[in-house]
Parts: sequence; structure tokens; C-alpha cells
Amino acid sequence: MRVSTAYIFDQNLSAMLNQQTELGKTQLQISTGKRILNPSDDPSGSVQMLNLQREFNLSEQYMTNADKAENKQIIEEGVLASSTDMLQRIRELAVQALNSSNTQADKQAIAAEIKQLNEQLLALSNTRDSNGDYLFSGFASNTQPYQNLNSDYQGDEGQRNIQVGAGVLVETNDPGNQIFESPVISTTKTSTLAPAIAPTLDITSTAQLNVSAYTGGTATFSPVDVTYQAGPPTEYLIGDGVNYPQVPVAYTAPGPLTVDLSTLDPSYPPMSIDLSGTPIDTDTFQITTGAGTGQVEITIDSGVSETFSPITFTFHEEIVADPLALPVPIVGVPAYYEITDGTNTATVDYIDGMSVDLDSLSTSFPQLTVKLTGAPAEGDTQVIEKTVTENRQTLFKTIENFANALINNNVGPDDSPNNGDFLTNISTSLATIIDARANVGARLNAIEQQNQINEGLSFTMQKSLSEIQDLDYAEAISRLSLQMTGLQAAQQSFSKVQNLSLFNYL
Amino acid sequence: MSMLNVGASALITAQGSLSTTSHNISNVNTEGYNRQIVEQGTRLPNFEGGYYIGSGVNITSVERRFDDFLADQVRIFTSQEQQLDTFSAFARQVDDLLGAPELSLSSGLQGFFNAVQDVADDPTSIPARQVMLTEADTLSQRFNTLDSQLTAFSEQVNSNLDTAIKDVNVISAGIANLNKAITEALGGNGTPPNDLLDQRDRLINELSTYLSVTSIEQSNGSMNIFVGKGQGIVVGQSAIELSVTTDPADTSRFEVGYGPSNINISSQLTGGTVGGLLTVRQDVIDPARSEIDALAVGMIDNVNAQHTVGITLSGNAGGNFFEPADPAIQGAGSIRLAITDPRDIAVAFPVVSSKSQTNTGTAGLEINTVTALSNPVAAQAINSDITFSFDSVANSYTVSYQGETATLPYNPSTDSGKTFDMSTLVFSITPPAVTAPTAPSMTITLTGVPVEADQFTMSNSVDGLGNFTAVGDNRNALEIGDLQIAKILNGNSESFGDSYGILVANVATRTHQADVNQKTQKGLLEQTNLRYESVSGVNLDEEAASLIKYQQAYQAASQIITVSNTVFNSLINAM
Repeated sequence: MRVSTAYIFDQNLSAMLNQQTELGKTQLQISTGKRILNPSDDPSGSVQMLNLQREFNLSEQYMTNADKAENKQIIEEGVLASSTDMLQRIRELAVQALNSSNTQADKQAIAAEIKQLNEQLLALSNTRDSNGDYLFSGFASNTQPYQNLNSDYQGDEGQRNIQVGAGVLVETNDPGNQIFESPVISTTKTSTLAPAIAPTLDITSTAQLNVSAYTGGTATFSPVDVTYQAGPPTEYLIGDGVNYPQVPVAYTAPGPLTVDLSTLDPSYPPMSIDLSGTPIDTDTFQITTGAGTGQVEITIDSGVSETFSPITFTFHEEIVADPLALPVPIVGVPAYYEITDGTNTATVDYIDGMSVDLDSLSTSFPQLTVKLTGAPAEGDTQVIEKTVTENRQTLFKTIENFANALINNNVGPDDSPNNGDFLTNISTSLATIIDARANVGARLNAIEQQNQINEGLSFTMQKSLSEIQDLDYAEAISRLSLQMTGLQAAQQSFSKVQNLSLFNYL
Repeated sequence: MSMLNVGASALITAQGSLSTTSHNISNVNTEGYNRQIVEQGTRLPNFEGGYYIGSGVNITSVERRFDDFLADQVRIFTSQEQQLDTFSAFARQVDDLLGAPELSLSSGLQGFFNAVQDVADDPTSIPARQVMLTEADTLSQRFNTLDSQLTAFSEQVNSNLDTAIKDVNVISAGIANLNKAITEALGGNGTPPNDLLDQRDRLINELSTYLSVTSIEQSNGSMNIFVGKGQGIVVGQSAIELSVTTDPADTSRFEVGYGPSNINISSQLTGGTVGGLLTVRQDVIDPARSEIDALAVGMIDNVNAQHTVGITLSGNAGGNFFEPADPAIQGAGSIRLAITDPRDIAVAFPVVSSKSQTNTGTAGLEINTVTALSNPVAAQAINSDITFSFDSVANSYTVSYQGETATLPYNPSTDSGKTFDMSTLVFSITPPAVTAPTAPSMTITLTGVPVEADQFTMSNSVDGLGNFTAVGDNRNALEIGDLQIAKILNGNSESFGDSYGILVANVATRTHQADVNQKTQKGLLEQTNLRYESVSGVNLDEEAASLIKYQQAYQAASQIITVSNTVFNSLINAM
């Protein structure tokens, strides 16, 4: 087939230009070290690259986040560790202080050391991190959690989460009130004075009035008159119209009838009275505040951490013997205390100033020794129980209260919670802090594990990225020399072929 | 005597052939030149009474070696190759733009979201917040630059289209004039005016680099040229102009108009530079712009939605983080920051929850998401505190809000860790109220095992007096950070990274395809050119040989004259 001169020239020229273009591209690849210069060189590879870069970047960011989270938690761990040490030292001092062989001077010295440790604990709770943020005030990083030993928690309950992995959040702080506050256990005594009943006029009828339920404790109240009216209608008039509004209550002999005084009028003391028998007109009873002076004092409290069911002491008067009473002779019974914990009941004859060792009376009773004194009245009760406050109290306040009580020597068995119960409460606080420390430890572990996962992912992705985007230098350089040879050959053959012309020979 | 004539005819013929050969040689590098061949033919013989004596030679015609079919093939492949070439050039520019690391939206998004995470790690740090603003600004600028570059490409397409159309008009006018000249020449003496024909063919070739054209030869020698689907731009001796018009829906796009009424025929044109420009605009530039706009708008809307329900360091509601997209300029061009003070970044949630000191169960309540504030001016999400009290008999929380109650069922053994939407709560209506309070628009997560009467309280982070202390709250920053991988674009099926990756892939694939196709077309074109040239091209060696041939013929012919002269002289001298 014939070829035109112009075509020969064009064809050789375009071949050389093509070679040059390819050579230029290879050169650019080698000088940048990248196999993919533009996305169009390898569309699917480019998209893969974008995805891998994104994932790699995310892993790196998660690791940065994890570092910050770790730092915060390490600081918290340090504070909790120091707090634990201090609390343990305070406990040791408390045990030493409660030992009765101490002199007052010894106790003062111990109290001073406890106070100083307490101040340090307070300072620890107000620790700030490297940014000046308070560690233990939740989200309120600029607010000091505890202003002084007696103040309440000023922060909030926010917990800051930090993202350390895809979908993995870890908490990096704990609010102060979850760490430094706990409910306080103490031994309480509640007394109830049984109201006294006196007939104002000697009663010859068989009418009787008993107080059946009284919840007014030791509060005094104005006397309540209860007067029988034969009527008609037959009724008891309750109240004298002066201290209490008079309220009539219908009564049919021989009863019995129970009246809850608080349903008559809210000003009445909280009691119920039982009416029985057959009264005659104007029979009057008067109910007054009990005048008993019985006291129950805890003298030995050896079961410090023991919880027990509430112990109720009920006093019963002596019954004087009357062999002449009819129809049956009355046998004398000495005054006694009835002691019960709801399961077992024991009685002790009462002698003013006596000591009673409770656990010797019954095995279910706690290891307490009580001293009974005074002149209690019939029906007077004392309840001893271990109570837990509903609200939490800062351990600073608990410790401060104990230290102050120590200075004034009010740390006897009867001075709960500043006695052996203080050890219980300190142990509770210690346990709270140790729990928190365990949490922090768990979080640090989780962060560590997640870091390892992220590092592994990072490495894998870098490797994949490199495989896609980095140039294989060996292949590229051999391609370069091949192309250079090709270009040289094209150039040389061009010059040779162009010289061939018939006109050279004419 | 007849010998003199014969000799003269041979001389003239040889001269003519030499001229034609020289014409070929001198036009060896002329674009579109078709070599001319002299056809020689014997003259009519004389009858000398019993026999014919030949009377020499004359040139019957000078023909150009031209193959219609091959010429058409060359034009078709030229158009296609040129279209792909133009397409490739622009597609490559868009491809380079998207591949440039300093403009990469991918690394811009990563930089921004990394800064968000750094703020989440350290909400009170002003430097970290400042970095977030700076990164957001950088990202906005990348969007802006991409938009302005793509706009520039669009404008470049417009201006190239304008130039191309003008050139087309000039060429079609030229063809019309040539039609006239050729018709006259043919009509005049019936022989084809080769050089005029060459010129016209050259013009048609040039035209096919701009558009795919169909050429139909008429009987009077003029060539009608049609483009698109039958629109004639050269009919006989008149040319019909193409023009540049705009689409009334979008006046920034130039289209191709036809004829005096400027009918928009863009959709019917293919091939050549014009076809390439129209196709690259439709298939590469426009989709790239709309995709990047969608990304920008997605960014603005979603970040703003989360930012408005957050609380700033100063205790105000967050408001917009980015300025809302300006519909006139579209998303990518207009995206910019709405805040300048790092303290104004809303990193905290508007509500906090706390549990009662007296709770004895293991239950927890966490606020998951907040979708609206009830009082943006006061930066409050709820109108008053909400309390949750657990009822262990009914296994539900009694929710008290604004004096009314609602029930939130929670079974500790099956529902721990589940998320509950508070906006579905139905509150009681206690007279004299006639409507129930609006349920708060937030979701919460309940965990653990609560005990009867365990309580939680939810209250505004900003109290009634405007005080805000929860400065270490990073929950809103975590939510904004989650946007990086959340599937929120394109009907909740793609994340930002996915969307951008698809865009890059589309442009890259199109560019790559165009490259590959263009190489194929070029190969086809070269092959066709080869065949065409083999018919019409000048080969210098061949012409050199022809020169020798005709030169010898001329020399021999001049010898005829000499001999004729000698014979005549012999005759004269013999008298």
C-alpha cells in the first residue's frame, strides 16, 4: 500500500511524542514516589485510598483521645490512692484514740493529727488537672467541689465521656459526691414517756381508761380530761374546752371502745385510749404527760459493726402483794423491764443503777451493756437501734465531728456516731473510695486494650495504603529505562528514515 | 506537418504533466491537499484514406485522487476523537482539582472533625476551641475554592463554546462561498476545479473538528452540510448561522442556537469540540458541582441542627455554627462560619440529670440526644424540672413535668440499656388546664435495676437566672463528632466520606474512560488516515520518478520538433 511522505513524517513524530508522554509520566511517578498521580490513574484504588486514609486518621484520633482520657484517669487514680492511705491512717488513729487507756492529752494530740489529715483529704478532693479543671466536680469544672470541711457538694453529677474507639466511650471522671460522701450509721435511742392517767375524783364504778398507743415520745402536752356523761345521750366528753376542743364520743356500757384522739382534732396528742367498764355520771379521768425519769445508757459497746434489730425496753411497775384482795389474792411482782427485739423477749427486775449485759439475756441480742437508772413510769419505753441516714454526708464532716468529740472526750459508748461507730463509717468511706479506684483501674485497662486494637488497625491500614499508593521503585525504574530505550530508538530511526529520498540521488 | 503538431501536442502534454507533478511536489506539506494526476489521451486520428494516422496526445483531464468514502470516514473519526480529546482535557482538570491534596475535601473534613474531638476531650480549653474554628474555616475555604474553580471551568466551557460557534460560522460561510465558485466553475466549463474542491474539503474537515457533520453533494456541485439531527448549516450557496443562547432556567449556561430564531439544539449536537464541551459539562462538571453543593449543604444543615441545641461556654444557646446556605449562591460557594469567638462554640448539652441521694437501686438515666430547645432565648430545653420516680409494681417510671404526669414503661430485666423517646410521652391534663404540657424532644437511655421510689431529676443546664456551671460538659461535641461517620446524606445512606469518595470515583472513572476511548479513536483515526493518504497523499519519491518520466518525455518530444525541422529543411533544400 502506498504511503504519502507527509504520513511517514506524521506517524514517526506521533510515535515519538507518545513515548515522551509515557516517559514523562514515569518520571513524575518516580520523583513523587506515588503510583497514583491523579484519581483517574486508578479510580477504584483512589477511592480505596480515601477510605483507608479516613480510617487511619480516625484510629490516630482515637489514640490521641485515649491518651487524654488516660491522663485524666491516672491523676484521679493518684488522688484516690493518697486518699486511701490517709483514711487508713485516720482509722488507725481512731482505733488508738478509742482505747480507754489514753489520757486526755493523748486524745488531744491524736485529734490534732486527725484534723490535719482531714484538711489534706479536703485538699485532695479539690484537685485540679493540668488545665485548671477541678477533677471531682462533674461538669462544673470551674467550680470547687468542697469549699470547706462543713460545706455541701457544689459540683454536678456529669461524667465526661471520651471516645477511644469506634463507638467506644469511656468515662473520665467521677463526681465528688459519689466518692467522698456516704450515709452515716449511728446508734440512736428513742424514748417514749407513757402518759399518766389519774381519775380526778375517786372512781367507784368499774370504768377504766387505758392508753393503748402513744407515739408522742417525750413531748409534754396539756392534760386531757375525759368525763362520762350519763346524758342521754351516754357519752364521754373528751377535752375541757380550754386546751382542747371538747368532743363528745358516744359510749355504751360496758364497751370496750377505742378512740384515736388524733381523729377528733389535730391538736390532741397522738394517742389512742381504750374505754371499758360501766361508768357513772361525772366519772372523770385526766391524762397527763408521763413523769417517768428512766434512763438507758449504753456503757459498753463491744460489737461496733454489728447491726441488730431494734431493742425495746418497756418498764412495768411493781405490783404490790395483797393477800386480802378478792376474788383472788394479788401476788406481788417487783418492778421490771421487759426487753424485746421482736424475736426474743427477756425480763430483768429493775434496780436503779443496775447494769444489764444484753447478749447474756438472749443470743439474738447485740453485745451491748446498758445501765438502767432513774424512776421510770409504767409503760415508759426506750428503743435502741442502728439507723442509717437517708442522705449522704461528706467524710470530712464525719471525721471533723469525731475529732471535735475526741477533744471534748465525748467518745464513749453512748456518743454514737463518734464512738466505735465512727470506725464503721470510716470503713464505709474507705470502701467507697476503693470501689471508685477499682472503677478507675477498669477504665484504664479498657483504654489500654482499645489502644492496642487501634494501634493494630492503624498499622494494618498504613500497610494497605502503602500497597495501593506507593510506587514499586524496582518496576518503575526498569520501566523508565525501557521507555528511554524506546524513545532513543524512535528518535534514531526517525533521523535515519527521513534522510531517505530519491531527490538525493537525482 | 502533422509531425510538428504531434510534437507540439507531446510537448504541451509533457509540460502540463510536469507542471502538475511540480504542483504535487510543492504541495507535499499542504493540509488537505489531494494529489492530482494528469490523464492523457490520444487525439483523434486522421483518416488518410485506407488507414488512420495518430495525431498525438492531449491532456484529457487533471484529476485529483480523492475517495469520498475514506474522506467521510476520516471526518467521522476526527469528530469523535476531537470530542473525546476536549472531554478528556476538561475532565482531567476536574480530576486534578479533586485529587489536589491542598484542596482535598477528605482531609479538610478530617481536620475539622479531629478538632471537634479535641474539643470533646477538653471542653474548657480555649486553644482547642480556637483550632476547631480555624479548621472549620479552612474547610469552608476549600469548599469555596472548589466551587469557584468549578464555576471557572463552567465559564471556560461557555467561552470555548462561544469561540467554537464563531469559528463554525466562519467556516460555513467559507463553504457557502466555495459552493458558489465551484458551481460556477462546473457550470462554466464542466471540468472539476480541483483546488477549489480541495479547499472545500479542507474546510469540511476543519468543520468536523468542531461538530459531527453530514455532507451531501448536490448535482450542481455544491455540498450541503448538516449538523445534529438534520439542521443544515450550509445549503447551496447560503450559510445558516449557529449562535450562542442561554437556557432560561439557568442563564449561566451557554447553549447552541440555530437559525434566526435561535432554537436550542444543544441536545442534538454531537462530536467535535462542541460535542465534547457539551458532554463534559453535562457529565462531569455539573454533577461535580451539585455533589459538592450537596456535601456543603449537608454539612451546614447537620452541624447547625446539632449546634443550636447545645450550650456555649457563656451559657447561651448555640445558634448557627455555619451561616445558613444562600440559595442564590448555593452551598459550596457560600459556606462560611457564623461564629468568631471560640467561647461561642456550643459543646455542652442543655439538660443534665442527677439521681437522688436516697436511691438504693443500681439504675441509671442518661440523656442521649436533644432535638430542640423549648426556650432558645433562655437556653433552656425544658420548661421546668422533670422527675422520674420508679414504680416497681407497674415496672414503669412516673414522669412528672409541669404539674402533670406520664408513664414511661421500663422493665429492668428486658429494657436495660434501651433508648426511649421522650417526645412520645402522653401527659395528664388536670383542670383548669385544657392542654397537656408539650413532651420534651429528647431521648434518654435507661439502665440497671431501680428499686421502688428511686428517683431521677432532669433539669436545665442554664438555671432560671442564666447561670451556667457545667462548663466541662462535652456531650454536644461528641454528637457533632459523630456526624463524621453518620449516614446522613442522600436519604440517610451515605456519610460525608462516602459521598465524596463516590464523587471522586465518578470523575476519575469518566476521565479514565475518556482517556482510553480517546486512544482507541486516535488509533482508528490514524488507520483511516493511512488509507486516505495512500490514495490522496503525495509521495516525494513517486513524484521524483514522475519528474524524470515527464522530463524524458519532454526531451523526446522536443526531439520530434527538431527532427520535424530537419525533415522540412531537407525538403526545402532539395528544391
